[in-house]
Amino acid sequence: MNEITKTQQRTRSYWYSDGIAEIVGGVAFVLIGLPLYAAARTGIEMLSTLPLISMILLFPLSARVVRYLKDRITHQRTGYVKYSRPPMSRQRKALIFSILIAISVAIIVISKSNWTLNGMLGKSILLGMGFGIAGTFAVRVWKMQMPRFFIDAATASGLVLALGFVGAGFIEGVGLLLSVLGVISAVIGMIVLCSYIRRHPKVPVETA
Amino acid sequence: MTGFDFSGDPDRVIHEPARLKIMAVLSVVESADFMYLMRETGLTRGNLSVQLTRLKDVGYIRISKEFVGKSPRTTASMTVVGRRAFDKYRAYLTDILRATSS
Repeated sequence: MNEITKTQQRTRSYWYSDGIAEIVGGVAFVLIGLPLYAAARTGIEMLSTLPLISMILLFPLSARVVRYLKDRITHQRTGYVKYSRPPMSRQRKALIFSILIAISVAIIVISKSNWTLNGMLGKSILLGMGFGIAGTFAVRVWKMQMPRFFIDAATASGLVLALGFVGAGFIEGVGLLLSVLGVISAVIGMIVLCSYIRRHPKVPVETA
Repeated sequence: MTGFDFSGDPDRVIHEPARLKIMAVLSVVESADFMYLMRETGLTRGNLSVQLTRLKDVGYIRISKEFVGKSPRTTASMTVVGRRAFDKYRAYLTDILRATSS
């Protein structure tokens, strides 16, 4: 890799250089996963509606929190970069894909009239979900050249295999998967953030 | 025969290493601020200012100033003309490498 390609690579992965996105994402995962796990363990169905509320609140809020923290910590130390938004067609495709997956899972759960989905089908969906998450992290390792995301990818695949082995149900499995991934992600993010702050002291206000 | 025109000149504005680095950064983002560019290029404030002005004068980049709270923020972004020039420069380099590889 030459100096120019390295510069471009560093700029592309700058978003993840401070660990803030991982901390916020990790906390969001825990807030979604923990009530699901608790619902499956205690049998209180009501608890399983909490993640939905968390998701509705967290999606717009987490982006704001990341932006706020980056303004306070990162931009004052190593500068500000604005990334181009993906084209509308790609955003629309991603949205349609997510809605279709959500509807499919909802239909399966309703048609089986078994909200915990403790069968083969539930286990298969859980396995697919775990490997899907692992794949997303693996792509990030390759695209951003950040090996630390291997830990998340390995955790997701290892955990989903272990959950399949012990025969965990869908809701319980998803809850545990998201909670553990969230904690690991947040801890890694904290370590990265501490190291980032130590390496980059605050710089006085710019003048151009 | 490679068909490469050795009489053609590369874009002198982009060819300069510091400006090439600035263009490389701006080619992968929507915009970047003065501090980020200074850190990535390793240039001093004065030198970066000169190089940015040069790129702005030929219409390759756009410079905007805004206030974030009480602090000023100067950001640079690549224009359509700049992107075209950068792509052309990259194609030039690729061609020259191909023509001289064997």
